[in-house]
Amino acid sequence: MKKIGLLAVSLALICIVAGIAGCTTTTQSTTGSSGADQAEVVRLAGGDYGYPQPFTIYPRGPGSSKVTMIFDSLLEKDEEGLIPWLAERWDVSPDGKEYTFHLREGIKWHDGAPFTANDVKFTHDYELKHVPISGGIEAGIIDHVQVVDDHTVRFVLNQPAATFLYKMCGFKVIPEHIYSTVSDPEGFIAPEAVTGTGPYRLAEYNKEHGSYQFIANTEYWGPKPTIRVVEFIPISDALISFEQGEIDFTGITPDTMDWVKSNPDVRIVQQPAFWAYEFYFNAVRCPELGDKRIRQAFAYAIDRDELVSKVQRGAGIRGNMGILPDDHIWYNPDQPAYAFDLAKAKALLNEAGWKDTDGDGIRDKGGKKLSYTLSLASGEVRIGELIKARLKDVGIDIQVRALESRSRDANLKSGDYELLISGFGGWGQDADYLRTRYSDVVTGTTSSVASAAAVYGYHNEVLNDLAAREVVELDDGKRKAIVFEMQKIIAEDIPTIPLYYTTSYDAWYISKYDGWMNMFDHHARTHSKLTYLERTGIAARR
Amino acid sequence: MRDNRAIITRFLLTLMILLTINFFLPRMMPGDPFSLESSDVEGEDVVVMTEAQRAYYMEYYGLDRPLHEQFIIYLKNLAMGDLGKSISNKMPVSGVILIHLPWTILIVFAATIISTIAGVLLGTFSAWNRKRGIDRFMMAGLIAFAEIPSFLLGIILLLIFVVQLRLFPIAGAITPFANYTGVLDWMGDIAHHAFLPVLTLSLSQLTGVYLLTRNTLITVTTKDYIRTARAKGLGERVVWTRHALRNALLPVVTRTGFMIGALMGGSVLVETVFSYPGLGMTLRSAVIARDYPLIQGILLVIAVSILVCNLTVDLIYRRLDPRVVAQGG
Repeated sequence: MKKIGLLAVSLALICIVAGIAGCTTTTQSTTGSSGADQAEVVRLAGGDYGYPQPFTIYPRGPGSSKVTMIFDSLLEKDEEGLIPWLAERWDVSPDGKEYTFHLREGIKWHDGAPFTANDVKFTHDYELKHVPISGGIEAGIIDHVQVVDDHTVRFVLNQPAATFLYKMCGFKVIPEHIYSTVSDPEGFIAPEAVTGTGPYRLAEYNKEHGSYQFIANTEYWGPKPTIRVVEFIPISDALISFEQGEIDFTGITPDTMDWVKSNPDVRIVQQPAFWAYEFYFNAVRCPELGDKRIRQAFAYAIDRDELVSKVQRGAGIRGNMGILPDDHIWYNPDQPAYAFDLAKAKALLNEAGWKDTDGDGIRDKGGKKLSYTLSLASGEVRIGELIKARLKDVGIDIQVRALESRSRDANLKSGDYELLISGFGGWGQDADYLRTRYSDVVTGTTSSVASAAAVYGYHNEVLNDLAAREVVELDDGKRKAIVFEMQKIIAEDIPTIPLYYTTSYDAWYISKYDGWMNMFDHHARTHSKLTYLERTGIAARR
Repeated sequence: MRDNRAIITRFLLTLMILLTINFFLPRMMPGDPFSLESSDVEGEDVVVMTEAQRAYYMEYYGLDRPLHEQFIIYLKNLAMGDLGKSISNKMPVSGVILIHLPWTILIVFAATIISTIAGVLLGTFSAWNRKRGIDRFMMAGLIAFAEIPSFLLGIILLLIFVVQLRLFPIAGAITPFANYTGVLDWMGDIAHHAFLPVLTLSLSQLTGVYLLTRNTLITVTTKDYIRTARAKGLGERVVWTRHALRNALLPVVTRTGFMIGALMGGSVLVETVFSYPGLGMTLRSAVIARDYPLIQGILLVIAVSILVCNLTVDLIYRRLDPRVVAQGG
């Protein structure tokens, strides 16, 4: 009785909603397609991500991009690569261990104090004691920093590090005259804590409501800010807020695209695919997964295109076994492809000696069956079920086990799983992540713990050697060649399977502001500091 | 005297059990505040910390010590009124609670009052018209209504009133960066934002109050003292208001106390739907972030407020029903 009542009421409500939807026509302002390159106020989706200084933002979400609006680093990233920023130029010693940065002169902090090389050295020394949330330089890379003169600063490294300049982009310089007396930067939320050299000042931060207001720094030393006021406001549904004109920029999914497309004032651009789902094998727990033929069979049997079309409704690119996505600046197109092929998968399993001897549809060998638990977060169950269905066709049995995402993370870290799926971003970053993720030895001095590869039991001597060479190779051309080789080896071995890279779309009102741009290694346009600055000034810098 | 000591002992025991559960439960969840590996939403940025960074923060927040030591430190600090420091908010837990609690109190209290008054009125109306069509219709309708989960109800209200009719703001508790012309303007803005969350919460509790009022009234009106009142020649209206309703209200008042607990729980979902910056939304993000001190602090505040409500109900009950004092004293 109760159930029927509920059904009736729900149906009635749906009819009401649909009725209202049918009656209202949304009118949209249409303006010319020439976009605004200047704006008075631009509003973006907010939420509380912490007080925007390097030590008080939250590790989850876009807190660090708000820090970059206030604080500058020695180098910045544009669409193509690294560009000089606080440092006008730099020299590298022949042994690759000394970087001398020549700082731009006449730069002032927001409070009028001059910015000097002492601030750079101070930031480095201070962050040895107080670790910032993001952008800190890993311990062990830098031996020490010396001030040559007011506008010259030298970083002396323990050994050559190919990614040093790249990492310096995240190194936000903080003012010595303010932070030198602060003993607990984690709790430093005074107004002077957000004194930077950057293009914006923090006008208002409301933690409770999750809103930020940034106002352009009229005395900025660099390219002029194009938006006078940038506001982050709380929203509950980004698309509705965008449709109602509350916010001027949003990320959208393909199924909602049709509505947005019909508005001529909205520009829709695909984001680079730098966010992906990765499928892990635990060869420590299941030794047979250490046989690369079995992993290759998985790669042939899992239909990545089907996942993209059914789960992602087309908004994705199937994963490359060489890990780097197609949009990555160092992606190697010449690598084994592993198109969906059940026959090849079966042949590989037969070759490895796994056959269905007892006729239950599951391959076995010496009493052990190819039967696994696949751990994933509850939002990824559809991916798991499709994989299960495909693997069943080649005689591999899968039980999908949905966990709360933090539990899944904990299992991944401790190696407490057989097969596992996890989704994360950062796939556009410097290709050095091939080393940190798939080399199982501690190479160089940059890491003090076992890599993920050691946890799940992947080991390849050749890859380890290449990785050790890559991290100290300072010549970009030679380093790129090594990274290309690493992709080939990984694609042959398949330590993990990148299932697919997601492609989201950005939408914005052209008439409001049209100057959105990306960093070469990152998917979110609103996270780039250059997105809020004059483009001509940026081009002049390269 | 002995009675009071027993009450105090019982209270302290409850508090101790509560604190223990509060401390250990969050820590039994897998993961820790600094082991972020994956995004919760596609496209979300997560800073994956290095092992050195993680060790630094574990030490900073004292999470590297043995659990029993942490528990003792927690109790000691609590005794001095220190709830600890929120890991995800980088500020004292008491501060985080203080800025979010008023919003939850606002919507929970408004919802308590509205659902109680509306429930009693509807219940009385229904009982007055019992066994007529209108009574049956209201009962069936409201019972069916109660089956809709509050977050779904919230989404439906959001779709109708915000997306289609554009009568209310979509999120938040105030208009960001607004310049108010006066106190009235400010209060109007708050009421405007609170309307839908309060409505959703009120509707979720309405049926309970309605049914209780209706059923108790119907039971009460068959009692002997009602017959006596009628026999005295009192008008039907006086019989209902002075004799029946007053007695029927007793269980409703008791229920109101419990209802606050249910509303506090319901606010987690409703605040999330409307991005309303109360304690419920904060609790949700604290659980996701594994922010142990904040989870403990919020659960403690909720537990204490429920205890306080029950105490208040006890006191009001004594006034409404003199028998309680006579027997208990």
